[in-house]
Amino acid sequence: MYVSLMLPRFCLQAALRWRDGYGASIVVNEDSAKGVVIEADDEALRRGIHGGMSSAQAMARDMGVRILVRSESQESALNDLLVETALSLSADAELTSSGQCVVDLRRRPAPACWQGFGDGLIEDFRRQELALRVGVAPTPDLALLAAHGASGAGIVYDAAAFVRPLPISALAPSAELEERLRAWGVATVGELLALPRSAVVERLGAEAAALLRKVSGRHKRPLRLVRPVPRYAEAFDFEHEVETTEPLLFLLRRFLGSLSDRLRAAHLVARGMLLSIPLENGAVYERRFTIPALTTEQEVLYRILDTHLEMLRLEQHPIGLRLEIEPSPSTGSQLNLFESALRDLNGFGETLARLKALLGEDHVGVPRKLDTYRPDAFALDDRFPEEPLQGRLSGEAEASERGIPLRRFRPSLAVDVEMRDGVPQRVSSVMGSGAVLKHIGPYRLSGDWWDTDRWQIEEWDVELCEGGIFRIARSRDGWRMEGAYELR
Amino acid sequence: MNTTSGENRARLESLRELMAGKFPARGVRPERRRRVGCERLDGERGGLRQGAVTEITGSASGVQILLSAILRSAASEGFYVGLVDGTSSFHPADWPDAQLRRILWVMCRDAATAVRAADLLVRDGNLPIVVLDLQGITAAGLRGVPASTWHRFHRILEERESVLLVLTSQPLVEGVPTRIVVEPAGGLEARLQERACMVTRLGMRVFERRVAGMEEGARKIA
Repeated sequence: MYVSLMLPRFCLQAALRWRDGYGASIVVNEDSAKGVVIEADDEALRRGIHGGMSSAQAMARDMGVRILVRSESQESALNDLLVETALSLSADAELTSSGQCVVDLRRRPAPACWQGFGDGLIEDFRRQELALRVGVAPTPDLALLAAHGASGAGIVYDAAAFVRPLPISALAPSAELEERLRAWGVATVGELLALPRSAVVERLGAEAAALLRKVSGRHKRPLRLVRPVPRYAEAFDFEHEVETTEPLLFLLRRFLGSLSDRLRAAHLVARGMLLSIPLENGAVYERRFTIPALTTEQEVLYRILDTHLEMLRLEQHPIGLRLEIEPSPSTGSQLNLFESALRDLNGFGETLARLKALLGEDHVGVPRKLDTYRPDAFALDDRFPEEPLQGRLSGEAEASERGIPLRRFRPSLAVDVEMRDGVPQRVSSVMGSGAVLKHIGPYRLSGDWWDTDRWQIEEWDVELCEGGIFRIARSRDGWRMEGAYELR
Repeated sequence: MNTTSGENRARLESLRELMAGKFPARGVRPERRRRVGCERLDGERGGLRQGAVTEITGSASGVQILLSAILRSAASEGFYVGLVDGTSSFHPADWPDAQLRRILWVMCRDAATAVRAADLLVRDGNLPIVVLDLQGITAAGLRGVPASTWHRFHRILEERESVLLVLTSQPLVEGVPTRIVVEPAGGLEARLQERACMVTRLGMRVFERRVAGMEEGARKIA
């Protein structure tokens, strides 16, 4: 049997997702100048609003109608959810069109009750506040027709009996073909099937042949199988600009609830998150989060986002929200189980986020020297590098483990240096002044000579009679005091 | 007479029970110490006290050399150190890569933010050693740190196993259980000496006092 999954009024369902219940709602296409209605809910239909109207006409019918703009990102997220559900039933799944999938279940054991199977799928979607229709039939096309016509799960056991009463319009023929059939007095599929097949095809051509194949109950066309890279993403477009973090946090919690469930169902865990916030000026704020310990815990993931948003200040108001989770096989983390010296990796990740919020992104991290002789060149990494256990235990001795480490002044300080015979004789700055007792230097360094950012510096280490050991440096801008080994 | 003393004893017992019920005594926790790669501290005492504040004060060069011993220990034993740098004066170029990989460097603007950052790391409890470097902060800047800060750190650490090392130029931390006063590590001529050797020669005085609720010398293995 084939199973089709269909989300009726797909654009409207996508636009209404994550929003509170409301009366009459329509979704309009923003591409057209007038805002043409694409889909309307039952309440709007009752008030005489239907597809093809302009939004002004819809408002003339009902001033209180809720007008939603079609959201491609929300539709894409909903399609992902549908495809993922289809693939969870069988690897042979086709995304026939937006909001419509067909799955070939012939290679898996049939459930005891097809009706119960279909109702179960509908209930799963209902829990996510989505309406689903399910069709089960011996051919893919009949399964699609069954889903179209069903109010819940439509099961086709007898193909001929099912198709006979269907109106011709259910097969979605071209306007020309539909008109000709109407002229012949053919209104239902049963009446069409009663006609001699070869004569119909001879007169109406290939399109009619395709329609007849669709309803034959024997034609099992090959499915256009989907092999998508699963995307664990949710999106939402606000109707108005948002001024506080409250709606963002509310939505993020709901997004994470849904995404965590999907990850668990696929036996995956989150290793990263990408938060995107479209802003009113068209820019998009983006931030990638690395999950220290792979998890699907909604609360852990939420706290990471909450901590970040707590201190986030944007120049413009957000108009939307996107969250994508980077999945990883759950076994990946096991390899590092004994490597980590941190007890609660996610708790530590949260503390890091708080520190970054307090001090700034570029003020917290694991220091790393850069491959240059330029003084004070370093980078801060986001995480402790993974090291082989062997290297860790051996303890490395390096050349830089000699002498007293410098305490660098950031920024460097102004200093007056008196030179005699090419060596510093006297130093004067706010950190220390006096005659130079001992000196080492000069260390002449230069780099990037091939670039506009070329630099050249001459460093001296000086010990003063009054106490204190300092590093002074001369560059194009004059003398600066770079740091101290010992203060007075 | 016997009856009266018996009654008194019974009253005393009931009073003790009442007090014990209302104000239960804090359990005595065993004193644990973390070895930090400095023979003077590890040999005599078994390392630095865990779950307590230790202040290292005195010469800037001496403090840096003692810090180098701690970071070498972190690199060889595989634990991480949080370095809350009150004046952002840590200079990565002077430290070996193996030790840099073990440091979470928190660059702060002033004493107040450094104390807040250290508070977050100590509460987190993931890092066995948190270094709060307040050397280089002016006396005026340090006056802005209320004395209650240190009592708060003492209370937080009571429930954790981390070591909080406060590096200062002058004694600052009130009620500190361990204070280590270090002397200068050497002059300019020391620039080629190995730090491991400098640590062994480093002059230092260690002042320790008993910590309430901590059982000294006890070693529980189960």
